[in-house]
Amino acid sequence: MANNATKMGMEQEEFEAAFPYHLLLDNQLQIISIGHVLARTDETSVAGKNLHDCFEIIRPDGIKTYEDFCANSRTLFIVRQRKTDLTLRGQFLARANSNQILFLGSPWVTSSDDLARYNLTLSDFALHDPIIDLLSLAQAKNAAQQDIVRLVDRLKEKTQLLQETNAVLQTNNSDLTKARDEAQAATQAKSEFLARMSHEIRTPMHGMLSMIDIMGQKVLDAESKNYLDVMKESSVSLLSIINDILDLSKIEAGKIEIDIAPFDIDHLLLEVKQLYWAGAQKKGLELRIASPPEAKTFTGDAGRIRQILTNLVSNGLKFTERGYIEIRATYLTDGDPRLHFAVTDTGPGIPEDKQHLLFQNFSQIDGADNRKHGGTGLGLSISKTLTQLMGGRISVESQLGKGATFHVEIPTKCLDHHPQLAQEMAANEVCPLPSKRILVVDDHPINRRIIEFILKKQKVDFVLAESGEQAIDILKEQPIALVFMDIQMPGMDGIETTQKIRAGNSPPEKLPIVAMTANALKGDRERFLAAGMQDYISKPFKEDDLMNLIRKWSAT
Amino acid sequence: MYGLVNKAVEGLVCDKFGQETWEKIRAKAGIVEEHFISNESYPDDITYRLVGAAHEVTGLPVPAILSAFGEYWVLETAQKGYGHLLKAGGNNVGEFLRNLPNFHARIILMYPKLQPPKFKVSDATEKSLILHYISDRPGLADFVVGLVTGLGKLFATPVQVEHIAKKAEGADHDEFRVSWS
Repeated sequence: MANNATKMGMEQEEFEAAFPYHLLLDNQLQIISIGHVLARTDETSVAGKNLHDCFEIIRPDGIKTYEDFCANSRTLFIVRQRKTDLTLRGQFLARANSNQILFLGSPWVTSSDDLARYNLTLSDFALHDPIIDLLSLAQAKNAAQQDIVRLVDRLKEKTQLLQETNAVLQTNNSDLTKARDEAQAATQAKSEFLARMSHEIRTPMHGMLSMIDIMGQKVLDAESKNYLDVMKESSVSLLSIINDILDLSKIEAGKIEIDIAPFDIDHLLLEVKQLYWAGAQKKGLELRIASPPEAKTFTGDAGRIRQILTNLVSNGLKFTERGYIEIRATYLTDGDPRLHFAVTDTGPGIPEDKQHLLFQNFSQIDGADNRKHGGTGLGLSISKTLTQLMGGRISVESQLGKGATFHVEIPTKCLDHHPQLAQEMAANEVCPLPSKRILVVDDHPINRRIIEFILKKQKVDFVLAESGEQAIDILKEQPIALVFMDIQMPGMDGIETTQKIRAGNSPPEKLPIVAMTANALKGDRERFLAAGMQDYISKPFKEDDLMNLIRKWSAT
Repeated sequence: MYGLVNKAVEGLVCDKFGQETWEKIRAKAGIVEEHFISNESYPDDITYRLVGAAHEVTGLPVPAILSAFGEYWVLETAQKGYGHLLKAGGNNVGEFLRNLPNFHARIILMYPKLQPPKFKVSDATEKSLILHYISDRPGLADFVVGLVTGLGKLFATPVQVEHIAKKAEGADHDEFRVSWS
């Protein structure tokens, strides 16, 4: 062995330290020398013993003789120490000049337990031998694998938790959906109830107001007239509140309809002025209107615009004690053409921090306002919604003590340069009264009394029917030029009656039918037209509106 | 430091004080990780924050925590993770400590992103030696005391550890006289 070490330029001790598992064999495979660690693991593996007695050659197969080893010097050998089962890996190097073979290798340990089993320590391995480092690396990888297993377990736990949470959420979601549907159904029911109740209230209100008007035309003493004025004022106020509630319920039910038609701006402003002129006079306020000088005829829903303006003027009147209320309309053509209405009052003004509350439902700046000035607190909210439905916008500008100005902008088209449309409008305005009889169908006796009074006063020939069946009988017996048809009637309603009239071959050009309803909702107009009607009038109606419709349809 | 170290801190706290205390410490330290990955490198700051929070929550002094952690590292983490490989580091405390520089060289091979401290041994006799601990990380000398004490327990040999040179007091590095009977 000293020979080997010397030839490699190493001291014996250094060779032993570098190759603690070596074997040097002669050509009879007798052990000449053995590494000190290998000798320690099995004290019977000693010099002089035959290799095959102490070790088993696992790989390659069939290695028996010195020549076999020499022929496989570039083959990986797996050798097992018979007594200890310690497995070594390495190679047999043939030393041709000396008829010797040298095994250089090291133990194959795959776990740290192997070290304990063979009683090996780190010092038993040469520092150049990477087997311990590979073992450490394997241990580190094991730790990583344990991490993965642990994390996968946690992931499974979390996934299960997530699934359970999802199930709870789905249940909650289902409950929420159910609650939302129930809330929507309740809102819908509330809106429908409000609409129905409003209708029920408006019908007798219509009767009261009409009778008050009729009484007002009689000769009365000053005291009675005073009482009558109070009655009318109270009735108008009540009707206004009912209208607000009806509008709100229509808005909530999505049943508001915008009717775009030509209208005259001067006429519209005048109507609003006439409505509030007396009230302004009474408070010593000036009520001014100003319209655009360059244009007069526009498209838009005049009824809804009037409603917005009356809301704003009515508010101004409530809060202004001295000064004036002004409605100034201007036609703006920068950008999309639109009508701008500025409603200004010289009232107390609105604090800046309260202005955002103005357009909310049931909002009044101060609870005391409600008690002092009355009203539902719905007017501005409804005005805002109506403005938005018309594609416009509404805003307020105010300073405390300096009054307020509400700005409303509504998209429009100016028709002053459209002679055909203007002519059509003009034609509608001057129609003669009918020479033939008209038929009024209404189940409600008060409504019949009202219309009877108006028609008698206007000297229009008419006949009344209490039901659809009676109306059909009258039509069979008498020549009729125009029919006013109530919609909601017990038994055969207005729609069915109209369908029967049309089925009996009464074409629209021969017999126009106008619907009368106290509660026209979105879609009703289409329903009336589909049933064979030509127009409709909302109850309670004004005498002028009724007469205009009679003129319009008598002319056809 | 590698996640293995932080996992060991977690293991020590859970073993001695329970899971609830660990969650408090983790929350106090502002650690978002629910689990540390052994072979992943984490900023040293996390370990320092954990030790600081452990001091606040348990009321134990920081040196006592570090020393306990050193023992835990040898007797639990390394023992469970590396078993006989750890014991194969030597047949007794002295041999193990003399092999410690090689042991740490091997750790670099396993954890290439690790910046392990350096250990040197001098003045070795049959019953004592001077252990030199050279590290850029401040304040961990008590951890070394715990490590060596733990090694004594591993080899069933009571050891005395004397901190004879302190970097915190101006020495070039920390030195410990380790003796056993």
